[in-house]
Amino acid sequence: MSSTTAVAGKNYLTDPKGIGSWIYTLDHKRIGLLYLVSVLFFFLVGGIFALLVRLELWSPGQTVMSADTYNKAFTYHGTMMVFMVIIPMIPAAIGNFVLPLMLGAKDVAFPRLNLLSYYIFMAGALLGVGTLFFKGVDTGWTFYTPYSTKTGSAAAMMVMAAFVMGFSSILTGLNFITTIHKLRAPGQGWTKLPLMCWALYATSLLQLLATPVLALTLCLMAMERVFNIGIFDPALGGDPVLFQHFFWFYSHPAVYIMVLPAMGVINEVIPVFSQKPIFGYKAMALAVFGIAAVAFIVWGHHMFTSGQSATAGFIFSLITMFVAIPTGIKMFSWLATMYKGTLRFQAPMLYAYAFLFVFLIGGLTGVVLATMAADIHLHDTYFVVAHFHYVMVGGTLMGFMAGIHYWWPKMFGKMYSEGAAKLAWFFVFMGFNVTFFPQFIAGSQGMPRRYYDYVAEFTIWNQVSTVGSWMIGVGFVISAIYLMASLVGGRKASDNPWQALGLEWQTSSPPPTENFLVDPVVTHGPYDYDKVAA
Amino acid sequence: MSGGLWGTIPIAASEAAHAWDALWYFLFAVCVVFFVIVVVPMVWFAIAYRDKPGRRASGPSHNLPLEVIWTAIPTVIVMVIFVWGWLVYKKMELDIPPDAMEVHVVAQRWSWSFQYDDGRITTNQLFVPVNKPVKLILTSKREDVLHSFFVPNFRVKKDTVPGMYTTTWFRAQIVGQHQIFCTEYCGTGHSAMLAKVVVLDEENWKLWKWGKDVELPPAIGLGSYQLPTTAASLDATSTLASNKQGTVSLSKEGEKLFQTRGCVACHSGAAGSIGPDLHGVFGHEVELTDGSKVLVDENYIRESILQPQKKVVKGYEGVLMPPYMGQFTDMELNALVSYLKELK
Repeated sequence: MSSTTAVAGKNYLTDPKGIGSWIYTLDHKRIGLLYLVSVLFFFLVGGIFALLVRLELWSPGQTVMSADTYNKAFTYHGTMMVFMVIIPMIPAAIGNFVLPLMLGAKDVAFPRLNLLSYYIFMAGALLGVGTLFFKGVDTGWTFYTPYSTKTGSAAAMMVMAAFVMGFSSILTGLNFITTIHKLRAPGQGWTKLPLMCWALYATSLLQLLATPVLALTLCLMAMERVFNIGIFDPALGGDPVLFQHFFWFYSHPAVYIMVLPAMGVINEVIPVFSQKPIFGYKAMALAVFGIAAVAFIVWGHHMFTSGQSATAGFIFSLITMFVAIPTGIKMFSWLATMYKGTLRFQAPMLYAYAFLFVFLIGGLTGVVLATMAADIHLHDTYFVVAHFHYVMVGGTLMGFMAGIHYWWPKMFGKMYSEGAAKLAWFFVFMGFNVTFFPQFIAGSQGMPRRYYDYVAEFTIWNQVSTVGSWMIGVGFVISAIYLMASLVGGRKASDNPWQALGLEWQTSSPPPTENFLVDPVVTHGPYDYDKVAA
Repeated sequence: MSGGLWGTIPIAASEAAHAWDALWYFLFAVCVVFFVIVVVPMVWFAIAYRDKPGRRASGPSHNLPLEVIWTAIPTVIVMVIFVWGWLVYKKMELDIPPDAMEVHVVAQRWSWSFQYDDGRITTNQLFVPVNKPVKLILTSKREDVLHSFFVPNFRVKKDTVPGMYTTTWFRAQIVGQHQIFCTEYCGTGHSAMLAKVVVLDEENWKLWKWGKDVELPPAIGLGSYQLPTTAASLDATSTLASNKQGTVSLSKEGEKLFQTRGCVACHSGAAGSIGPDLHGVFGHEVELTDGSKVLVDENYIRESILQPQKKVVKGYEGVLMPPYMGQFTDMELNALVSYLKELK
């Protein structure tokens, strides 16, 4: 095993210098950080919209804003969080940084394409945010027709934004797949590939294959709006349910685009913080592909009440049930990994625990919603809102927090305050459950989603939920403070602070621009904690 | 009044709701069991296997029998859930009793209209008899958007789609007023698009059918002490149900349209008619020009009125019926459908 040490004071953060060296950078690590900063900014804005939505729902009737403003607030919360935060959060931000390092590569396969992806993403994102200056969008993030073709013109602009961001997603997927195929270090066979890379691979496949359908759909929608060609609008002879089929054909795989990378992060964190090999490596790798494959043929489970035929519903419900199997395999394998390990509860592991807990509830309620009859009552209620927040926020966001705390020392060469991190974790984890668990109850009682006003019986659950949203807010404010403080006054991180075996920990913290001064050769698996001393 | 599991679900006020509740209790139990199976080890491992000086990690990195077990058992369980879910769905949505009373539901931003077989129309109050099956044929107004008809107490939910009919049914078991919500986002008044199903006992139902005023029964469960917040929900709160329209039945109204709008000129069924004879076609399959078959149901009739060239019956290839898109209101279309159903 070759160990490398950077020349003192020279690393990717400091060399080369100047604003231009960041704007035009081809270094995957810097592009990763550009994504990270952008995504966190959009997360802040999307989070403020979330707090506004929760504030309005404090009591029935008007609390702080009008119905139209409320409709825009939840639309911006949804669209920003989905397209600008949750989808790029792990693959584009963390993935860009760690993937080549984990493969022992100097960069991704197509560095220029990588930078282009970032700027396409930013162009789309700014277009999306720009709709705020054209009276805003009130369609919800799902853009269902015919509402979206009848409402104000900013909706077309938002659709355009999602279209543009989709291309960024496609290019990143292409780049990652090529990188994984072509740039693995000598000795890193397919069975020695870290599971994070397997997860990014599966995600990239989904991005590559599903996103074009979204682009196509949004194109058709634009044509209908601009040229009055009847595709989705029944007044023009179109079919609004067709839009739902198209939309979910992309957006269901998109849900797995969001959560698979989070599973990848957890696959890295749990073995390190248990100092044990991952349980069932092959099953784990196969499971992500199992989930990815099934992802394409379950979209109709969003449409059990839409008027789609019962036969279609039958098939979609049946196939959806099979998502539970690989997901269950992963859940149990994580548990088995920890069994008889030496568990250390530092921030990344705490977030991995939070992920397991939250994702478990998200997954189980997913089975409930896949059940055709159960979904009839629960569809479009707060039960669904709670479910997908447990999966998307609980899964992706907890996975992201685990990842960012895990790789932070590698990214910046600095350690954050562990005590502050634990405090923030408490607020984020507790706040999350306080916010979203009551929504299961309000939903099963019958509270529909996207409701500005609600019947009095739901008041108590809404108020608990709103208090929870403040707790989450406090948690993230604390996180922002100690993470930024670590950049200025943090203790210097060692090259391998967690005693991990992954290749990224064998270079210096932060790594040099070329990642490894001596090309690494892989001689053992990424999780051989029983054979190799880290 | 509140429903099962400590009031976390609404009261079960229809036949299908009880079947739904049984499924729900099973799903709840499965969730609790799996939650415990995962969370208990999480907590136990966190305590028992905490890193301490001198402790070394041990334990297996794979175990085939275990992996087979945790693949096989969940597979069996989700298949049980799936089958049960399908059976209850079938009961809730598909097994519509043939003697069910039909009501047309027309949704628009932001109110509900109900059109009965006797020609009456009510707004934001759906009147039905207790213990009798009721089939709903739902649509949104053509220029409108999607809505969804949701009665929590009945576990009934169906989207209303402009330009298309959807159907569902229920058999109400508790006399009273049951909350209706709109559950498909439709803009400003989405959460104010409230209405009630008014379930009347046999005696009051007869009175209401005769056009008499009846006293509204009490609200059941959800929404019982909610104050109206917008005009859309206001007319649902009057204490007397008074509706003396309905002197002409829905199908009679349809017949009138059939005669006066010219349909009869080509579809009279007399020898030498230009268009197909429509007597007794409802519920039967007809062959199209391309050789495929289509069931004559509500949606086919509606489509053939609005866009007749879409699916032409075999033998009528060269006959050009003009499209009636935009020439009938949705309520008139419902009347025509109702008439053609009864045309034997």
